[in-house]
Amino acid sequence: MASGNMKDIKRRMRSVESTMQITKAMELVASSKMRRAKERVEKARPYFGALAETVGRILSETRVSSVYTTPRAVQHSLFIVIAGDRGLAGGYNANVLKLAAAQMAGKQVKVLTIGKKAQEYYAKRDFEVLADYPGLAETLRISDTHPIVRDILAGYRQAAFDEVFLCYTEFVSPMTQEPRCVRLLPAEPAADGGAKRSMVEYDPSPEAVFDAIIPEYLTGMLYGAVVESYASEQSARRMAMESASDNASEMIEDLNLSYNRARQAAITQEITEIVAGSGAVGG
Amino acid sequence: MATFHLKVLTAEKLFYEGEVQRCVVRVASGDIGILPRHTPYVAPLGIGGLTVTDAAGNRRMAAVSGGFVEVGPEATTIIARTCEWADEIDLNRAQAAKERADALLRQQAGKHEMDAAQVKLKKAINRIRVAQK
Repeated sequence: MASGNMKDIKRRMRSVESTMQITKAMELVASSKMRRAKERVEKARPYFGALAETVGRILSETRVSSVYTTPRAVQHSLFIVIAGDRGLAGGYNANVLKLAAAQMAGKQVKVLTIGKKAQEYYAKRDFEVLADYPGLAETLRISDTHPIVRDILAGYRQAAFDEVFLCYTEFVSPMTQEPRCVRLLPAEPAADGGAKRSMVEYDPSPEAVFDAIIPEYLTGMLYGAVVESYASEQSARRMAMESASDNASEMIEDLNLSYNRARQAAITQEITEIVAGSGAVGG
Repeated sequence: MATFHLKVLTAEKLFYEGEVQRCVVRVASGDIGILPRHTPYVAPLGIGGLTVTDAAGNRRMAAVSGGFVEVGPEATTIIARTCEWADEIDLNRAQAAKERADALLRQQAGKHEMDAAQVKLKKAINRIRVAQK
């Protein structure tokens, strides 16, 4: 019985070890991908900062009456939901999908998904999905976002939906990622707007400038959100895999202990048997 | 000589930042020159050249397309969709892109494809022009 027990423990140890090898490898892959993604986020941030700032300033300084700024009665809302292409990333996918669901409550929703996990999630449920863009995040370039934004703006102009939200995960640090949901359209002026109104010259007119900038603004926001989300996904996966590896090595330690105990018990029993046997023969 | 602060940003990187004497850039209505103490100004960019004269008087040229320029009281910011220095342009690639766009235009495809091809052609011609200057 004892040797059978030892064999079982040995087998479990081997299986945990091989799982640990996998989680360890995934951790390393995720951490190298994360480093690259983080660089991309850091390079992109000044651009989006400037972009959002400028759009906010223009909005607060002028009373542009553009189709993109005037709120209208909301019938349908478009949600752009960015999730990962793969699972095993801790709570990453679940968190952003949960936030999106909370924001969607009580609205007539249309969905545009980026990432395979978001696509699968909304395909299984009863949602009107306008478009899916799986497998985009890793190699995304800014030019890839132009057709997406063009479709969104066309839909907005034709009143297929009356407001546009963007749900993504902000990369705060390698340890923290925060799901966010922001409204893109209709665009609102910066919160501190109207404080000082400088005499800015718009060439050829505020409306024309604004209509030219809005697509840039949306491509910028979209690109930024995808880049942030991708970095978040990789760091969430790295963390999940790190704790999985830690758990595995803890389990191996425990198993090793019980293995040694079982081995010792087997030896003790054997000696007892031999001693008992020799006692019976010699006695 | 008087200078002002210029920042050129693209999504990929901070393209240029520094004190400059002068900068000429193509906006939707044509080339504009920006000198120190320019009035606040915002305009969308066209497809064209960007010429920067830095504090030491060196001139550098780049090809830009898309985005906008904002002249503020302290600094001028150019937010561009694409931007590359003349000496970094891959002339062969631009030539190839030009031929591809030409071929597309000759096919008389749908309006949407035609528009896209027109823009591609303009961009390619612009790159070639800037690179050869």
